[in-house]
Amino acid sequence: MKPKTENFKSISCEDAVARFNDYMDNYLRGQSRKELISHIAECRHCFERFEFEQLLKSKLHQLTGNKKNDPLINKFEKLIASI
Amino acid sequence: MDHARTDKTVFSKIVLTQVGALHHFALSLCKNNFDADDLVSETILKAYENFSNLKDLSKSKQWLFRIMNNQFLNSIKTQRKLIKIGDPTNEYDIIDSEKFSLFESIAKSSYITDGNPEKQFISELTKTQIEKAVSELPGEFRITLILCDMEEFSYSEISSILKIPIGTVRSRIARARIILQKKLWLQAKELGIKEAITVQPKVGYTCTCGREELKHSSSIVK
Repeated sequence: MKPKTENFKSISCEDAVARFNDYMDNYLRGQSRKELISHIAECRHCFERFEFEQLLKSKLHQLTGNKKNDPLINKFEKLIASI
Repeated sequence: MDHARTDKTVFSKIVLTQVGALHHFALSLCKNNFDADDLVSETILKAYENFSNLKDLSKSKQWLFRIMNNQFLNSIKTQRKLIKIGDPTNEYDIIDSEKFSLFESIAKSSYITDGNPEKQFISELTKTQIEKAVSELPGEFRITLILCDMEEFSYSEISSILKIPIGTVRSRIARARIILQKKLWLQAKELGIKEAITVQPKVGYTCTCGREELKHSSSIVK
């Protein structure tokens, strides 16, 4: 018996680009996600544009305030102690 | 050990782990260090008052951010200084940027003539340039983007923090990214990047969807 193959609807570059944000932010699910992955695997232009968008997102992430900040910690540690 | 003291120890640990992120978010709301410090303090006090309501400690970061946003909105209502979050949205920015793509703009520019100009552009962006572009975003877009890209909240968590529908979160993020890219491009142009006059397509491949591949013509004629 032949293995079941998945058939994805081919989407346009415009459709693919419109799904980039949802995919990068882990919001894209199901068929829509599979269609995008399939498109990116075949379309070099969209692949490169997608990589670019991800790089920019990761650059933004580097500006996070999550890094350890001792002066801030000391300042607000005192406030909590005084409550 | 006395229960209240244990609670305070747990509370302190939770808050101090997040204090950098909280202060960063406060700065994005207030746009100055003095008010940001005040907002963090008010948030901590309010959070401590309501600590017993926090049932799921794994959601403490989201909970603290929601309190901060509420505190900020309340202070605005009290002061009647602003109607919307942060600075008013510049409609021109949004409309003007609707179809902008930084990737396409770099590809069509004379940024560099070979290699991967788009990746090089990103790698050469400085922290200051990005921070400037982010700080110039209209308030509600800036805040949503910071929660998503810097603090890594999900759409659903952002929706809960800002009390807006998920659809609004998605559209704000999409628009924020476009406006941000436009601002980065304008900065780059000020620094001397020229838009290409002639683009010479490289003989290459055609996308499976039939799209014309001008982008890979990195041999731009100056």
